[in-house]
Amino acid sequence: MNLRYFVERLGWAAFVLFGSTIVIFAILHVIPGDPARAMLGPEGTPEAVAKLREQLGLDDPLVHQYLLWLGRAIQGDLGRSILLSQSVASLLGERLPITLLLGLYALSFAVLIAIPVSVISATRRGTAIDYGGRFVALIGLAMPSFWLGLMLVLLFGVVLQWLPVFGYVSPRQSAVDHVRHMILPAAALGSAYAAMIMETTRNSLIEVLHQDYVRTARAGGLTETLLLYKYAMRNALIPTITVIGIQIGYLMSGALVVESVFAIPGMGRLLVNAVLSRDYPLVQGAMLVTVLVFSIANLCVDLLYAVIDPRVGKA
Amino acid sequence: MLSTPISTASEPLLDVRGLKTWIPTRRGEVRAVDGIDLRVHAGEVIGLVGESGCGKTLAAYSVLGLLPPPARVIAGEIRFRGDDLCRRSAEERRRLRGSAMAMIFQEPLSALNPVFPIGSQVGDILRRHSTLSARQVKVRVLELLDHVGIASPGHVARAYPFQLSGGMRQRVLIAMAISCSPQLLIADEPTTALDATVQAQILDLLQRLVEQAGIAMILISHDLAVVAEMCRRVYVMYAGRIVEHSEVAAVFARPRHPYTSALLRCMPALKQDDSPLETIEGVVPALTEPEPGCRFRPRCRYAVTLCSDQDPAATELGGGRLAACHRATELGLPGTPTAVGADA
Amino acid sequence: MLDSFFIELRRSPVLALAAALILAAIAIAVLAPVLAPKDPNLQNLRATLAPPSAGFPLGTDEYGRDLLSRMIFGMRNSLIVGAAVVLLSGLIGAVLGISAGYFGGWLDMVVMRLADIMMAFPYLVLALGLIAALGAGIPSTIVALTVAFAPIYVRIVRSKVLVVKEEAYVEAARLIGVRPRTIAVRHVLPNVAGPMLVQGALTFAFAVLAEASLSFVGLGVPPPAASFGNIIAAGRDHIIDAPWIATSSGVAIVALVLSLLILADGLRDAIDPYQHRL
Repeated sequence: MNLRYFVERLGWAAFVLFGSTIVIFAILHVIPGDPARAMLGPEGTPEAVAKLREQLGLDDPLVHQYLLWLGRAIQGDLGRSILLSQSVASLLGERLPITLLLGLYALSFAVLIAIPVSVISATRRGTAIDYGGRFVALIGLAMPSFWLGLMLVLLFGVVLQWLPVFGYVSPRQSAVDHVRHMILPAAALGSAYAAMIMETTRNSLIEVLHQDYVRTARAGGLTETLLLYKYAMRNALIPTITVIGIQIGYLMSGALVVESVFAIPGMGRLLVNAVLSRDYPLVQGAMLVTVLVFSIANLCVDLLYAVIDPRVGKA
Repeated sequence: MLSTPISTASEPLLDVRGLKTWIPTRRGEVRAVDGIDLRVHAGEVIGLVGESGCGKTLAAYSVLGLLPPPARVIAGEIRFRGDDLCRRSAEERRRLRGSAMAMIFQEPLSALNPVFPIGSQVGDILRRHSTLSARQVKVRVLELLDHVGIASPGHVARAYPFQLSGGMRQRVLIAMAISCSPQLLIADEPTTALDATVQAQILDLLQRLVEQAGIAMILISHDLAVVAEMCRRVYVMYAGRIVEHSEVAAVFARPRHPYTSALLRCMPALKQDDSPLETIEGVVPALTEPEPGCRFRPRCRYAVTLCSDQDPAATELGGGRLAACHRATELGLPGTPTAVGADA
Repeated sequence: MLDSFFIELRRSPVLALAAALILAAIAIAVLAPVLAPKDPNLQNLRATLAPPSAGFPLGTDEYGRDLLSRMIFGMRNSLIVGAAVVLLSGLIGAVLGISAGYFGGWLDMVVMRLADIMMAFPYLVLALGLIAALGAGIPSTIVALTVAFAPIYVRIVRSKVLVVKEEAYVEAARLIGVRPRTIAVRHVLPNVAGPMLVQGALTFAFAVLAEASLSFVGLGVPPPAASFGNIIAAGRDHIIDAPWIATSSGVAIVALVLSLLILADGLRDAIDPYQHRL
């Protein structure tokens, strides 16, 4: 991988991140209406509103407010949550790892299911197995993750009683219980993601298997296994990685809701509660951290490209 | 240099008889290869010429067992070293590919995998057909690259295809093809996609390699000039059939099939005067439901009534010559001066 | 293009079924007040959490409200949100995408970088941020999801415009002095209509899912108004003693979204019949 490509992608991530801070700030400050009024609700007295406005610095010019917020955010100070009267940064620090773990499990679940199924589908293109697999995938895509989660709870938690239905156990407490609690949420969250990965990988694999270089490998007498997993798969994974990268946003969106189903104390529930109670500093902080995670994930995907495809980033 | 006799008493290395390779489609079977006979002796270089779409490449794929589905061999024998390949299992044929028989392709740009270094791709074939250690494979790869005239084998082995020129890539593909010392090499338009100057180099390389190692080669081309330089014998293919077979010199001096004659007139390199370059009117017919009669008739300037009634069989004309034309003996078809090939 | 869609429709029974289901969903939404057997908000505390029966075909929720009636009105709200999001984000996508693609220059630069930045947010996070500012409710849901989905439209339209722009007839129109705005409307718009329809069906599907998600966490359609999402949220608390509450609404969403995804596929085949079919 060359340095220029790396720096270029890093610069792009920084630009997008900077742009997103403006968007986050603008959403909550430029939209008509008084945030302080909104936060306090109908019971807020004019005095209380005025006090909160001052406390939040809402009477300063917007640019000033933005720069102040940005400057503090860069130093890791995201303000204090109004609802929980705790530092936003420390709240997010507690909750974010849980959400990241959930996302990571869902991603692994999706990849582990999608890749083998897409190989089966692509090599048996046009057969009943292929159509069946693709139809199941389409249903997986159409199912809301939170509803799938509930159905999994009903089946594996209530009827079969194999797995715990709600709650979260940290891996430090008990690794086994941690995994048992995360299986259903990861499956619920990862299914639609698996469906997207599957469709892309199947199609790109079919395309790659028709390429001249696969024919060259065949002409060299290489076995079908080597052909599929070495000569075709690596090329077929390039579009797959694009989808994995783009749809990480989809995964993160889903996590916000799936956490509510399983009562997992992650950032998703924190953000939802912050929005419900219009806890602006917390909403801003959570949005910022989400974009940061998404940008880092995309940066990793860009770098992964360069590892898989030697042409990327070179003239 | 061309010392192999045109016909020998010994058994040919490759003996294709009555090969039919058809492709089922919604509009019926496409008879892409429709009953061809073809023989190659050990160490011999033969040409297979014809326009694109005449079935040359599919015939080659049939021999190697590389037919893309749904194309398949529906009749005929492909005897290699006396053994009918059509009766062999997929695994047995796979073992022959890359070792006893190999192929190089038209498009060196796309024929190499873009995401693996050259050394790994050449090495995979060696590993598949030998018991060499990892170290020995590395050494052998460098030897092979050097052998095909690559100046810095170490550098190229580590490079990716996109970092090499077209000519270099074709050299790499040749190295892959000869890596396990095949007895038969099929070269499908090996220079068509290359620059004119590089073409000559690659042809020279091929000629030198097959001669040194005694490899038999089928050179597939639409270019008679290339065939004239490289081969002693040539098969002319049209619409899934072999329409003429003979020694190259004889074909050039006196073609017996109007299609061959027409092909010769289209060769720019052989033109003596400044008359305009000719083209063959019309296109290769659709091969689903061939009309009765000769398949070249719609484009033939010598066609008579008989030609539309009866499909001409390949007729022996003496001296190993074959032509599938009702008027093969009576027409005095124009040829070209026989000087070609002498400069090779 | 419509012709080839009808050909596809005849060719594929699955597509025909999906189209029929979508038409049925639209009919249910339009005729909701007529079709619903009961008032969706009518509580009946003597029949709480009742399983499906003759009186309540799909059972009741914890307040004894008739689930079938709630689902019928939920369908209505889902389709209102979905349709509004598709229309608004499509409009924004068409205007900004065509302008950016056709005129290029700084306008293109600004619009596309803005789209890039918006797409750096997971779509639900962007929507939640907007709802935090606007307050929950159907209009805010529509605005939030429109903002979240419009950038994809802009990208798709722009990339298609860049292709159309180079076509000979557009070039010719430009040379004979047709006004750029006329070219954009007369020549460019019809060409981007196909991809926009496909994206419209997809956006509809994802907007329905997103609305359900927002309503599920209490930030979409506000109770007591019915929505698939908030019905399922109510069902979560009774997943053990009244599993039918969450089940039926989920099945309805899956059927609706699946039909929309199949429709999008069918439209794609119809606008590009020559594409390599995989």
